[in-house]
Amino acid sequence: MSVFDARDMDLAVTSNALSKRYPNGVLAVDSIDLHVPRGQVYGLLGPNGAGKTTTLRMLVGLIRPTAGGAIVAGHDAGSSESRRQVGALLDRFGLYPYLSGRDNLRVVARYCGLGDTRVELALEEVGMTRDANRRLGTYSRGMQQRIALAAVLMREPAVVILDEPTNGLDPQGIVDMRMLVREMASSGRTVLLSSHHLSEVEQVCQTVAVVNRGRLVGEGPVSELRGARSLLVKAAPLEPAARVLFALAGPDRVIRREDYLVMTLDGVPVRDISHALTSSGVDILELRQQERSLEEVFFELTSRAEARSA
Amino acid sequence: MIESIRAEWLKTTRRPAVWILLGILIGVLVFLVYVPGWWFFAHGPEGLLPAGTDVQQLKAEYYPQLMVPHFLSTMPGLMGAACLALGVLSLGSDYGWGTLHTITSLPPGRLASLSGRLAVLAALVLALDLLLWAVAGAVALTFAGIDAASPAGPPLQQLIAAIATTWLVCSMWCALGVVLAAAFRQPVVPLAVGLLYMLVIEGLVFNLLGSMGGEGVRDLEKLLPGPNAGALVQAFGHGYVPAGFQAPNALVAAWQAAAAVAAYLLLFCAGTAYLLRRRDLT
Repeated sequence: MSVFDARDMDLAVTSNALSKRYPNGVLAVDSIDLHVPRGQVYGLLGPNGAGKTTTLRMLVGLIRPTAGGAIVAGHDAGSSESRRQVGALLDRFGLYPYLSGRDNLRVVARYCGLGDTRVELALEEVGMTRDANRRLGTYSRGMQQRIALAAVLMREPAVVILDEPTNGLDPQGIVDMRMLVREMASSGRTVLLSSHHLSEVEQVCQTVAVVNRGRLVGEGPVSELRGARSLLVKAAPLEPAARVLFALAGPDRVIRREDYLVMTLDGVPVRDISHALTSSGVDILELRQQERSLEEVFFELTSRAEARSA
Repeated sequence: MIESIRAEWLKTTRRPAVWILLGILIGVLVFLVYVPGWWFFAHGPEGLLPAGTDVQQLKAEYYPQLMVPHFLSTMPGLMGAACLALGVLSLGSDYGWGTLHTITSLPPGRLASLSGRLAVLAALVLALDLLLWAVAGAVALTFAGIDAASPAGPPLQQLIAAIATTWLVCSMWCALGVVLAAAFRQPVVPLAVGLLYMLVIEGLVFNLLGSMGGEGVRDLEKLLPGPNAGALVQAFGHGYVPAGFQAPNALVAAWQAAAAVAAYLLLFCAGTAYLLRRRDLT
């Protein structure tokens, strides 16, 4: 699909062979194709140094790609039309330490041609009205982040880009951030966030892209990447149990391990499986549903990519 | 661009460093340039000055009539250094705090926000310039009042030209600060490099080499921003020169110096625009 076709599709962000090679020769991002559905929370997952920040900065227009391109909110990444619809919270908050929280927002509001009413609404939205007149340098990291988020929300962007949004936050701050991300998505905004915390991505994102060493190694809905749930069956005797499962799901969906069986659950209710096993005279010792965690998916994808490149 | 100007004005005028710089300049003007000299000449320096020195004429430089040459013989260098610092702090701190990333990701874009920044700096330099001239005028008027001397000021045309000159020179140094900040992408190194160049390389090394009579050095000096700024300032003349002393000769003609300073101002602004537009914000 050409990157330009994406303007008409239901995608908030799309990139086509997006690449960045720095002047020192380092290829930070290597031909990444992203497809971020509108109105979803999309996670860019990868270890430190994978190229997530460079990718996000190219989408915001801070870094120019050396090859490929991206469309953000229907316009070329970094163009003034695109910047108008994108709010970004990058790894550093980018606020003035000598100004108060309120004045920091006023500076952003003035750059965007917004009035002070929006500033007050944004302060209220992030719960910072009471401390808004204090100098930013006296704020905790969590408070600074809330002001930075207010600066993003104040502009009512269609696409919100968050680079490692929970870095350095205390547990309560992390929970608050997750809630805020969900609220943004429920109000129709598209949220594209990067993280190396798998659990965080798993909890808030509907779709993820896994990046490793500058390359995209997997992209899709979280549920799809995890694959179908499976059922672990420990039974005695094992052989008749295997025959029952073969009959129910077909031999290609059942794997025989040393002393147990693993069956891919694909529409067969667990109750039916249990009933079939007991009816055939098999003693069920353990029957447990399993789901691959995103962590397992991540390591599988990255190790597969590394093996391929080796 | 109006949005950028409004935003830049808010963040620049609320910055304590700007007011500290202004306070230092006013302090230097009053307590180092005006008060000690006037006090020295007012309280019997007989015997300390060379024979034949007219103390009254020296004192007259502290009155409003000779305010222009007196101000221009002392303040432009200091004001230039302060404005260079102002320029460095303006852009260099935005790199340091990561606020340039925020600004650049906002709708106005790189060049519009730079234009706003430069416009605000130009206005701020003008305000600083006017304020310092006003303080100098007030102090000179006070001294004239104490000594019962004439309160008449300099010719208005001369005063306006002098204010415009200091604004042009200070704007050039400020723009040098901005371009150095863009080149080094931080505030500390460009401040050190800028002041080193201005005060040591141009102010000391070239002066020393020039005084040793090297014609090549003099020719090279004619191309540099500092000597041209100096030549422009010297075009306003000088105060009383005691017998045995020599007034400094201007390196180039005033019009040539003005053109060179203006060209440097534009060059530094264009250089900043080029660097900001071309470079990635990593």
